[in-house]
Amino acid sequence: MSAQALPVEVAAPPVMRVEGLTMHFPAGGGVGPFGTRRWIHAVDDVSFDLTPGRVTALVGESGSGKSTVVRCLARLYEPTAGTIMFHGEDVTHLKQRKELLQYRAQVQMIFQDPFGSLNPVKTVEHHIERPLKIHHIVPRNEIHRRVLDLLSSVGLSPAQEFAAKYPHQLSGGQRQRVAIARTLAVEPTVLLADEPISMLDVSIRIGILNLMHELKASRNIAFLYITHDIASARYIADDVLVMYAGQVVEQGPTDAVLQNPLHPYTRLLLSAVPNPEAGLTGRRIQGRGEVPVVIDPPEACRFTARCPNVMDRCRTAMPRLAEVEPGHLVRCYLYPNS
Amino acid sequence: MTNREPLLRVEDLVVDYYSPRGVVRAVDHISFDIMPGEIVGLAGESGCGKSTAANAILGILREPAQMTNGRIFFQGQDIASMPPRAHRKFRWRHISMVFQSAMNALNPVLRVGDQFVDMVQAHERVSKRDALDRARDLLRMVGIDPLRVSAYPHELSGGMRQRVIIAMALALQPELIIMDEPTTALDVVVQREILQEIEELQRELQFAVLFITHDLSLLVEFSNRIAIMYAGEIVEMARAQELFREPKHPYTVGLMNSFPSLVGPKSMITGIPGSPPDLANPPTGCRFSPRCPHCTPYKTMVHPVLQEIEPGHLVACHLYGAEQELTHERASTAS
Amino acid sequence: MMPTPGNTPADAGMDPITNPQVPIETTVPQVVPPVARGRRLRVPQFFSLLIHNPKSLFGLCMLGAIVVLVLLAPILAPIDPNYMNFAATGLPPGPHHLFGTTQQGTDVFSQVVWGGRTSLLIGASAAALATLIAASVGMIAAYLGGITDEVLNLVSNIFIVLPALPVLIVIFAYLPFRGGIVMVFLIALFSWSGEARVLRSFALTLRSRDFVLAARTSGESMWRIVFGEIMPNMTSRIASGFLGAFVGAILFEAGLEFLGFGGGNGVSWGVTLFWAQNNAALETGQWWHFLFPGLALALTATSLIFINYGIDEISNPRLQRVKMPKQRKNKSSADSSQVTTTAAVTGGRA
Repeated sequence: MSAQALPVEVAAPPVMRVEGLTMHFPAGGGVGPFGTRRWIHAVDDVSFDLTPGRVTALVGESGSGKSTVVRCLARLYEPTAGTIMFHGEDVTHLKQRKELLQYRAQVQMIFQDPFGSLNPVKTVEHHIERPLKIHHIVPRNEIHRRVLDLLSSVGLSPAQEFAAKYPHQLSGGQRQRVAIARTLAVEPTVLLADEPISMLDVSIRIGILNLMHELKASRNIAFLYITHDIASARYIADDVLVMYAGQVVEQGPTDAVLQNPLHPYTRLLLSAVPNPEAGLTGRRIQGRGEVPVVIDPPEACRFTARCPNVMDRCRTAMPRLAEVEPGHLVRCYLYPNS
Repeated sequence: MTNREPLLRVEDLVVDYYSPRGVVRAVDHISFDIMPGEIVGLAGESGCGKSTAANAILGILREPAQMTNGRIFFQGQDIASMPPRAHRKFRWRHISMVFQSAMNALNPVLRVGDQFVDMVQAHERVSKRDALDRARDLLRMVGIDPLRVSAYPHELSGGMRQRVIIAMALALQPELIIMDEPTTALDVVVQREILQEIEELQRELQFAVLFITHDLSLLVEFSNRIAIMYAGEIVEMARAQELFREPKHPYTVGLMNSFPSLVGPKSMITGIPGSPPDLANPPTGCRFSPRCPHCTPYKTMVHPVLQEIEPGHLVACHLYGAEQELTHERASTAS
Repeated sequence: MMPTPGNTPADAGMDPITNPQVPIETTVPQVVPPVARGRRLRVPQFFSLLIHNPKSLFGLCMLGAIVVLVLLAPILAPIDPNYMNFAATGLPPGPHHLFGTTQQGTDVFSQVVWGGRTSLLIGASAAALATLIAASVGMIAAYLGGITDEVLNLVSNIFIVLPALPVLIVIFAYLPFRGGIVMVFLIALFSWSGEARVLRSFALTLRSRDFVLAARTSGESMWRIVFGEIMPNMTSRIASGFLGAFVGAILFEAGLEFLGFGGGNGVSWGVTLFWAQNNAALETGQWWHFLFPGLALALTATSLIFINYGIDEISNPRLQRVKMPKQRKNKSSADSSQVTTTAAVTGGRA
């Protein structure tokens, strides 16, 4: 099923279903006033689907919990609550090595830092042939050829030459391509990309995004794209989730969310993106401040402190994520149903 | 443009790195100037020499880097030829700086206010009380509660610490502040707040800024003039809006095309193929030639020079200024 | 040296000039010299770097000379080191007995050369064993964390605080048998703990690196991650630990022999020193009996320490000095940009 060029359309059923994903970490400083442990709510009740051939972007600033979500999906963290359904099976608490291996043969992750995600003492070939060997993707005598194929498929040619190189002999963009080739080795159905371009030079970022776009179409991969750069989400994603302080505050099809942002935080994020046409002045942004670390939060909207539209209600209850338009969900009392 | 004397004038600056593999020319004959109260942006990718150039201006290059050519005038004085001590003293009075990692430069065991006091008292004879008063004023100016003078750095968020650093940079009322990626480590919202504050302060206090970043779209908004650096050289320099509307150099065009936009129709953009050259072994002729869509074999042989093609718009590219002298490969004439 | 990255003919063949759409980065922006990455090298490259570093080259030559001398013992020192020539006792160094003879008439030169075999062998084996234990314990503790880490830490802490020499003396006093192998095991047992802690903390920093997570997500097993992915990044740290243990073990062995816990019947530098002490060689003016085995010990230790200096320089390029041309003008006002940065914003009082 490697390189079938499927003309994908939306109707495909989701391959991964995340429901109510919650991740709490014990807070430093030990126990609270009544001898109870205090918890950092890194991720609270996040739900979304990943569909083959679609890119879902998870947008948020640092501290929003977006990386924690990915690490839960990559089974690097054990979620506190919620379920991760993969092909209809609950994979939230896979323990056995065999089951985990099966899962990892389908769900792969691209890391943010291409300088850290490749082992400096191993060749490019090693990085790509390991997954081939672990998951017995091809017979042993074909491994080398497959490595070269994969390298060419991410635009690294002459592949033979790149295969023999060490990570430090490659530029950032080339390393990220190697990292992508490694994830493709297992012929994954889901790719989790954790800020794959944020550490790259500006002139080569677009190349990586274009590669992801091409892979999603040619290999029918379901992408989860984590980013703080809402403009790049607009460029590549079909669906967008905006996260703030561990919660999804708005979610829906990219165009709906970005052209008609409903949540005050989404508007804030959009207004903060540099816009050479307008210039700085006259666009003083509303809602100063940074994403708080949420420790044992009270029952209230987490954006109240910065929200320009804050109401009394926001301080006493947590709005629900509710559908405002078809497919467009928002967590805010400004809109009905919340 | 007024015909005032430039505040800072950099002439033919060259910085070499001495590595076991040989000499790497990180900054290659760059010249520019900054007028009083002007915000000049220096944009380029990592390794293009923009930070090295800033360090050379500040006189804080460290081995194995060395300034091997050029002169740096500040208010008409050649500061690069001053003895190090005098240079440093001069710099404290007139130039200050904000680095990307500066928010980690606060001493973790001293209160913010005390660090202000120490810094001010190191340069001026003022009482502790006056210095603290000034610290409160400055903190208020950068949008921090003045009561925070008694906070320790770890009690402040990254954005607040960077604001403290900016406040400190303002404390001695410098004429020029060099900012090297001051907001890159921060989130977009905080970045925007800080930039707006800097702009307001700049309008009020009229200091000049040399703003170094890789984020061109940010610079277009923020600065008056922009210089684009590529592989150690300035390839284009123009007023910000002009550069944005009519970029000339193919590299600048490529950079502009590297940012997906939030507005307008969605279309496929291509960025720039390839990656920046190895400075230990730069391409002959135009350094951008291996990545340039307009390049011809002739052009790879000849090094383009930076020349003014319109008033205030300088480009180093063979596509502009037809009657150009054939400057042969820079390596043969340099050094 | 490592292959130089940069423009290769094949890169040029791709020719993005004619095809600007080729999304390939043709060249590598690299200003950092390859040695700067010495800390994470494969073994052969590592060795070639060692040879290129003057300090470690000096150490290697010295150690090589000592090893060659010791290996050539049957040719260089044909006299049996235990043969007591009662006709030639207490002779000073001379043409027949290069290093003189002892009061029992044994040849000191023979004893030093033959004894070197024992000393080096025991030292190297004990150091190898200690390093093996240290690496396994350190890395497993670091990677697994939790209770395993606690237990292994406790054990290595116990070994760190145990006063090795007294405990060994007690053990040797009760041990029914003696010999080289026992010596190796006991020395190793008391020399791994410090290194284990160093390697553990080193592995801890590597463990949180993304490439380890990436190996996990691609399904690598724990053992492969620890020994196949993490350990190769620690080559130089392990090598330097081994050399340190080597020095320690040789001196340790000599010390034990000197105190008479080796049995005194073998031939090693320590044994020779033991007999020199026993015969009150210094008091009777027979300095050669002390000097030469002592010198052999000192030279071996020096050679190992020099190699270690070399490794330090390779893995930490800051210690290396690049030749700078004479400064046209004195520019640099500080030697570290980080310091300068701090100084810059806090007023330069640093």
